[in-house]
Amino acid sequence: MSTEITCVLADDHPAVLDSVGRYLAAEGVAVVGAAANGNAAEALVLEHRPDVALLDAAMPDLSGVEVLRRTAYQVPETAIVLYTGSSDAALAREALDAGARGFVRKDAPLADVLRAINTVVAGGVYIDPCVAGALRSAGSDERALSPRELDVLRLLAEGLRYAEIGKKLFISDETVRTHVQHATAKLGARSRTEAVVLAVRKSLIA
Amino acid sequence: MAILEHDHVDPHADPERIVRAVSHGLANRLLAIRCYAELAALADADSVRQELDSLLRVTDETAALVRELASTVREAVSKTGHGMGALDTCITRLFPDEMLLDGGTTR
Repeated sequence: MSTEITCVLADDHPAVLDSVGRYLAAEGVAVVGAAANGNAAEALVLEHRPDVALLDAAMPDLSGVEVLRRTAYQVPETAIVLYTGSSDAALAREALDAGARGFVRKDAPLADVLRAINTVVAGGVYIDPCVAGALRSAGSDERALSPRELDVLRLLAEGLRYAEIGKKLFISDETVRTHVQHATAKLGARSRTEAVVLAVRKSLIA
Repeated sequence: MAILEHDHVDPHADPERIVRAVSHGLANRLLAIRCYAELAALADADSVRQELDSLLRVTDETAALVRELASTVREAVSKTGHGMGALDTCITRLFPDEMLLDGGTTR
């Protein structure tokens, strides 16, 4: 049985699509689909349900974030990683709020792309260090928490498990986990317990 | 340059869009160069030639693009008052896809 990570790759620049796809393949990632635009990326993610989708944030017809929004609830098992030339904190925040599990800059070392893929497939969240810095300096505080992240933190504070929270909010366990990870990162906490404590201390949740 | 023959003042020239298009376009090309270089380093004796050919092709394309960009910027700088229009027109030609991208969160 193969344990190879499966990946859908999308980028509107042909050389990037070819070179990154072949680089990932050379590093042992099974690229099951390559799309030159957002609509094709959406179709490939829905068709292949890969472990991870590495999406260019900037595609003319449908941005990576839009593809993410369209597929997140239909294919929750696919971790979406945005691949972008931008280090804009607002874009990163929007992507993370929409459920992205990773955010990598195109000028980062190639090893970072593999690190991001391995991290998100293992259930974690990967944010490019430069972007994480921008998020912090832009004031990544309680204002950055989305209403859904606050809901999840509130229910965590009540002692509910991920499955119970998911049932209450009509979302999957995996989505609950993602919201917790994002809230933890935004609050600068080292664990979900610390995130809950900080949220209570800052009166973000009762 | 031919593109500058119909130079004009373009009140709609958008410096942010120009910078974004150049940045995005070059980031993609540099990424491809790094990937092909990495692939060449990983290749065995049978496939290294193919990887080096790809590396050479994308490097040549990028070098030509940058040379043209430098020439355009030089022209634009010399045409006070007309520069942004010329630059906008030329960048649209050099980076047509990137100039179509919206600002904000689609980068």
